[in-house]
Amino acid sequence: MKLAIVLAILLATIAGAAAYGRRTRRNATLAEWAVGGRSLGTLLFWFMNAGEVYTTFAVLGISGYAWALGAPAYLAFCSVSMSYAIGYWLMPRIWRAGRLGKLVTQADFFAARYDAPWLGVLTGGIGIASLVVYVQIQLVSLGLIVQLTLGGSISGAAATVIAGVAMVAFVFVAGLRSAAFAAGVKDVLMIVVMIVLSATVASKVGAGSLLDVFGMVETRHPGIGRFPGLDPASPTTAVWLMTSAINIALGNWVFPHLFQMSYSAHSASAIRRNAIWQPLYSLAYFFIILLGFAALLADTHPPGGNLNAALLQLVSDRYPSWVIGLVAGTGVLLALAPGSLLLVAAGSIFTRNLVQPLRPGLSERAAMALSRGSLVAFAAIAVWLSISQSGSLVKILLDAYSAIGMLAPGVFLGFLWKRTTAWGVLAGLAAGFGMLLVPFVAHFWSAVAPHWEPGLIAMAINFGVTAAVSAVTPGPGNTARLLAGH
Amino acid sequence: MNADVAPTIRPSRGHRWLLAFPFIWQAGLAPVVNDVAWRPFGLPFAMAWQLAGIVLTSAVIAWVFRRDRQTGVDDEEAAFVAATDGASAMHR
Repeated sequence: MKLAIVLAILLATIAGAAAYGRRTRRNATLAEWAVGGRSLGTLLFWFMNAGEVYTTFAVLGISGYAWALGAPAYLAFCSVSMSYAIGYWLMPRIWRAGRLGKLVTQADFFAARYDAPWLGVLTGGIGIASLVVYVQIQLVSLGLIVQLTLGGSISGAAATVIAGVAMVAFVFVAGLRSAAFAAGVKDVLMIVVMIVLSATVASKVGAGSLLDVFGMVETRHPGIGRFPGLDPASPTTAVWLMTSAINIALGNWVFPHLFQMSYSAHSASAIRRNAIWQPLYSLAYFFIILLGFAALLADTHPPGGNLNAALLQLVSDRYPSWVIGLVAGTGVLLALAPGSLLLVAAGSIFTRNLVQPLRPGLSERAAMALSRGSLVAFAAIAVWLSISQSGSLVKILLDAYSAIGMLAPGVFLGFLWKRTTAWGVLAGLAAGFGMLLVPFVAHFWSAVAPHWEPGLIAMAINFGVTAAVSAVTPGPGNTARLLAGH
Repeated sequence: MNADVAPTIRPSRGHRWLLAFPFIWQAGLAPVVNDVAWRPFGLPFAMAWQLAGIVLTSAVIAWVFRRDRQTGVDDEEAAFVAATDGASAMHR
């Protein structure tokens, strides 16, 4: 029953997405595949964005955080509105640069804005690494859902491999437009799932009403609704929230796939209009946190205390199999749609920014083949990472943001200050990664500012160094500056 | 911030500083509201505060969008799209 429902949801979506992709696709070029031919209108652009916001991370990671920690799950409330407040200002600039310079990837932007092809290669490599970590988040979730659906008769590693294969297969069926379609289907299903679960969860855990869940959880675990949450000794204080949220908001648009998403809009108005509505959508996290608290009240014990599995465990403990199938099927789409976009972005960066600078004569056909081949390799790396590491989805996400945040100074200063130079960006990267990765430096900062998100400290250092070195190195030429509107 | 930010995307953009709103409400004030004991609708205050911040952020962005329209962003952009349609102004 469970499996039948999951497969029905999955196959129907793939068929619809493929048909939609075929009907609207014009010609198979890398630009069409990767940035949708720069023609996504307001509605499709909305679904693309929403697809990025409502990932398995949000549903499983945040409910798991609410279950394990309580208040720290509020991070989800900050991340979207703060990201879009910045996006309102930043995304149209990226879109403009994309049109002017015919840019396809984020690394294209770095190479063109700083008039330095080598910087494109370097930032392309960093971008791919952070995307692979982001794919890992989707795979960890997808693996859990596969395990739930198949009833624990399969190991976690095998489930993750199946998840990886499914994700690659999904990408190969078509490109960006199909993923946007699938994101739309998944959003509708997600609303259905949320209504079904939220309407019934109170009675399942013995609460009188939906809001009563919050009162009960506070009575049973005093202090859970405020920082630092369930555990009074946890480092997740309000300062942690503040620094983590700012780090996410500044890092968000610097993720290559989101940067690339700005190119795909047909107008800057579509981008801005989208920024108005997107924060409201994040109110849905209320229900996700509710479900996490409900799982706590229901004494849910996910296998191995894995907080990512708390919600799935609650559902499989207390709900009939058709609900489990619906949740699992939706969860599969939640991971597949964003995951496939991430892989498409990684593949196109690899081809355009790591291979083409070395082999300029690459044909369009060969470029497509290379993009597709490389994304299979990236998916394989992500599968390997998911199997060999474990951690909460929120923690993996914050690590991914720390890494990608290192590119933020190059993007923000690139638009804000025309004198920003390639050498400045390089020095900033070195200083920022030094802070994150050199053990004694990282220890120093964690002793000085224990509640601060390390990524934000590294980003601040990076900003300072980028500005200082830029001030004393010669800037790029006029054509390059023009790209950033200077 | 540099004074000559994007000369092509002028005039008056002072209202865009309102976009800092969620940073102040949702991040900056988070430690301040953390100890409030009042529970509106039975929700922890820190949570209700965040929910209110989301709604207000959308309202603020909508207002900035309207101001942008009034100051002619759309026209400027239409001109830009027309200028870059088909053959792009710059080639890599």
